Amino acid sequence: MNRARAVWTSPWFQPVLVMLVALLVGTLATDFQKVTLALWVIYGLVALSLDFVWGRAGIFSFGQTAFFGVAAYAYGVIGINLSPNTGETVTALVGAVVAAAALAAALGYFMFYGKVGDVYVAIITLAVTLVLLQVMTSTAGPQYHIGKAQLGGYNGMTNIPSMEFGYPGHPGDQMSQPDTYNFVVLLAGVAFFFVRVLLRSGFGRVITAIRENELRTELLGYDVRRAKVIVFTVGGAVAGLAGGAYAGWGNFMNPAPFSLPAAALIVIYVLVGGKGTLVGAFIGTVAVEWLSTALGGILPSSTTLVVGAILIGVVLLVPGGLTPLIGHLVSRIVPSPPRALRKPGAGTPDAGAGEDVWRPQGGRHDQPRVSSRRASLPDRSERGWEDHLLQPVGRPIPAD
Amino acid sequence: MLEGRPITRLLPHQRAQRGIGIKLQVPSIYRDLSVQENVWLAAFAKMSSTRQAEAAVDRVLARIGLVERAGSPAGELSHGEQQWLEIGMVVASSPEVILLDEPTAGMTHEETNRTVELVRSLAKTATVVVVEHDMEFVQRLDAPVTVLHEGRILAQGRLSEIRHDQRVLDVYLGRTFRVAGS
Repeated sequence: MNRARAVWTSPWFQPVLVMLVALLVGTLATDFQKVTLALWVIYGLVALSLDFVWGRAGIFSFGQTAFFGVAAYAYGVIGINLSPNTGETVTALVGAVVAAAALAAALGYFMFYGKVGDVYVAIITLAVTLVLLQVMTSTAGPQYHIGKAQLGGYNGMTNIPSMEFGYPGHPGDQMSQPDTYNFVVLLAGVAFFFVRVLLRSGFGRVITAIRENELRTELLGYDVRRAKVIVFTVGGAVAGLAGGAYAGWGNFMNPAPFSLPAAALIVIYVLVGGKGTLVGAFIGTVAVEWLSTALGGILPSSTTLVVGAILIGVVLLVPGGLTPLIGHLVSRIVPSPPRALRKPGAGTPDAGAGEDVWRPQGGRHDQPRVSSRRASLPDRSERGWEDHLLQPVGRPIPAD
Repeated sequence: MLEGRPITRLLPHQRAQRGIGIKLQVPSIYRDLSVQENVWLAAFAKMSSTRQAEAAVDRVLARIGLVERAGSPAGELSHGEQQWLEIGMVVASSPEVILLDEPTAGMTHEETNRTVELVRSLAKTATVVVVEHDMEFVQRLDAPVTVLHEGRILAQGRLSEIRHDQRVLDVYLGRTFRVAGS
């Protein structure tokens, strides 16, 4: 098939693209701006975890910030207690991921093995998040501590160590803010790559199958409950990675991520970026954060209003999200290679049908008829890169 | 019971793993996935090797006659083709018992003919149970028939015998009828 498409859909391309763009932006930014940019990348990682769980597997989770928050506290507790002796915070970061994954696995086990309906999954995950908000805000007293780490209640946990890679007796340098930015970008890229590899595997196709038709998947003999718990746990782990990075980035953690606005914001990032596109998680996060920062400066104290307006605007005007829109614009600007230059037989079975490989929705039509010899089975989302960009889950593209 | 083991209490996916393939009355397929992806998912449930599953896809598509449509989204198939696709998905999971719920519902005459051939070929490798009220289709299958009435077996035998069974006629025409003893 088309070379550009093969490259675009390969598991490494989009993560590498995101990292390159982020690092390029990093070279242009001041150190002060990098502090904010790192936060956006961290939020983007949480949005990625939601887009994986919701956009790809069809599980609507309001709990990604719960996993994020638990992981951040776990990083704080482990980091404060261990890093003075061990000189590293890798244990803390791993512990953060494990804590978030364990919470997600436990919660997922009860929800999916209990055959809880989709709506209730949303309610339960939100309830768990809000319960954590209540619990963590009421830990202000000095008696609430884990080892040397004071939980701090509403005021939060302070003095969380930055990232460092030393070993006992040889503490590493605590990471500077510009380095933290690069490190966070690396984490996001690796997590993104991992998610894409997972989705390309046989298990990834089963995930798609569950989203498309759960009953049929069950009747074919797949254990839908188990698959959902695995997906939910992976989603929790990715959100947990972001949480650990967040605590190391800010040296501080309070219960705010457990609040309703924070939980809703992740959903907004995903919707704005384009649900199911994965790369859209980062695009949506940066778009929302950038706009709300820029406009929030003009209209102080109305950030919520701005975010709400962005969401309504996107849902009404580009229901597929920004990523499909960008794909559409690219398809206008980048000319399709002339027919003569293409490899013979590459994706042009019918006259006209394959004329413009960059055309939106072209993937479906310019697929060559597959002979019985050629049973290459791209995941639906991998079918064509324009399909991938322009057809996020379940939403028809408005005709132009 | 399946192969001497009770299956009543098993979960749906466990029954499927034990070798029961089921086709629902209304086609239950992945409408947004391509035909070959549909079949692949069915094959992969039993094989857990992507290569093997891909090989199975070729065989099944040839068998149900949808090779030409391999790349099309399943939702774009005609109603009859969707029925075949679902039967094909059942075949791909190589079950020992195949349950078909009204496989010819909504099919044209010609499509029904092809379905007869398909079901007969399935019966060579597996036990096939068909629920159907299209008597012409049942006749063409030429298989033992069981008539159920209110959850009980009313009559069993060849279709020609059933057709002349007074009790079956009574029930079919809605005449007052009570199973002895009830």
